[in-house]
Amino acid sequence: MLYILGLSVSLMGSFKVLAAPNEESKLKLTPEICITGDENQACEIHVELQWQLAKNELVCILSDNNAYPKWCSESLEQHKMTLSVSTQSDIHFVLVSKETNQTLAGAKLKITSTSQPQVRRRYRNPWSLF
Amino acid sequence: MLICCPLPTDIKPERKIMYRTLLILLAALSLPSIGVAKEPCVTKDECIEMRNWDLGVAIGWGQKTNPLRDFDDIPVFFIPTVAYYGEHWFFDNGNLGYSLVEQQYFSLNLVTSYSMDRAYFYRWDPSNIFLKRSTQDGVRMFDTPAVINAEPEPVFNSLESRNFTLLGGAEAFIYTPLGVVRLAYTHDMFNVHQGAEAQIKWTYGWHFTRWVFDMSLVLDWKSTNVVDYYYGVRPSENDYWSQHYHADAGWDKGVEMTARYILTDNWDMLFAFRYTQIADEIAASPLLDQDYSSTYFIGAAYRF
Repeated sequence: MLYILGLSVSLMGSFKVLAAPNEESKLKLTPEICITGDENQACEIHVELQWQLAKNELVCILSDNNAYPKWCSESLEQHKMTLSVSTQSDIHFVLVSKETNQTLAGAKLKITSTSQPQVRRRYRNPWSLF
Repeated sequence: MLICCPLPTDIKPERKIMYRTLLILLAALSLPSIGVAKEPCVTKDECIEMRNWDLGVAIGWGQKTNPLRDFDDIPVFFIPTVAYYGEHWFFDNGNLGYSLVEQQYFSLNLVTSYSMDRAYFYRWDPSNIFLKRSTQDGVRMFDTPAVINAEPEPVFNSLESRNFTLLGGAEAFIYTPLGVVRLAYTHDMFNVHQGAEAQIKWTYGWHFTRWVFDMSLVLDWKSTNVVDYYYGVRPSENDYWSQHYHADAGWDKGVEMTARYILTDNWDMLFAFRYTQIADEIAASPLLDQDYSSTYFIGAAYRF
């Protein structure tokens, strides 16, 4: 339960996570945006996750995509990892302490399509001309 | 920063309102910081794709009654819909607009519009472009048998021109769970009648399986200048009535209903109805012999 709560809090956005008590802990995702030609086309990309910690400790990385299970570091010297991603939707990554499971930072891979239409409110009834 | 000076005291009140409206518009335009906070529209029917023309036409049968004395009712054979929405600008069925604020519960636009009143007089008024009028020769109006009345019959010579003009102003939309409220105020931009119009409109829409319904209650206010320009009698038309009908501002009250049955992605069946109870101040004009106008249309609509 706490784990789910922790994950959902961390999914509220990387900014909020970074502004939490561990202000110096950061999770940097490169690249942050993947642009596809068609909204039905999956984004296939290698991303790099790089973290900076307030306290040197072992960490784990979680995501909200089941295709990418929890990964944990085995060495205190390791501060980055690469991942091959294939997805059609955004992925939130969360950096947590391996020991305490405390959320440290978050990052989001955003998937956008060049063909995705932008919409806005229409202010007239389409059949107002009569 | 907007710097201005007091308005001269010898300006007519209507023109003062016009200047103030323009000042408000200029002030609003000079505040880009208001910005447009993009809030996505909730349902497909409220939305339009940006930077893409939305075109459609409804073909069917309907009729618009004409409250003008001796002017024929107006058959409606087809209704167009033309819209283009950019980042801030939009063009929608003849109205040009610029969105200053777009938020979840509130929008504020600068808009142009045109009066529906002129459409009663002219076949080629924008409101009627796609409507077919059988006759509209108001040259010799009202030749019905004489009635016993102290006032002379309202028989008119050829009517003088009622020119087209664009109105400019602002409109606000307030989105609530109980529908959308539109508040608008516009003023003549081309010195044709120097009048103003305002609207309070409540619209409620709902879906039921393949049916989409919209119902609106409308209050339309027209200033004295608007009423006088369109419904006032000029001396050349009838000298007696030009002196005895005095135009005044008034509120039209109306109800509008649109129902669509979705057949395919492009085709709908369209059922539309409007009823406008014309303001007493306008209905008192001898140019009118009805105090209402109603419109109905039944047809098939195609969206490209």
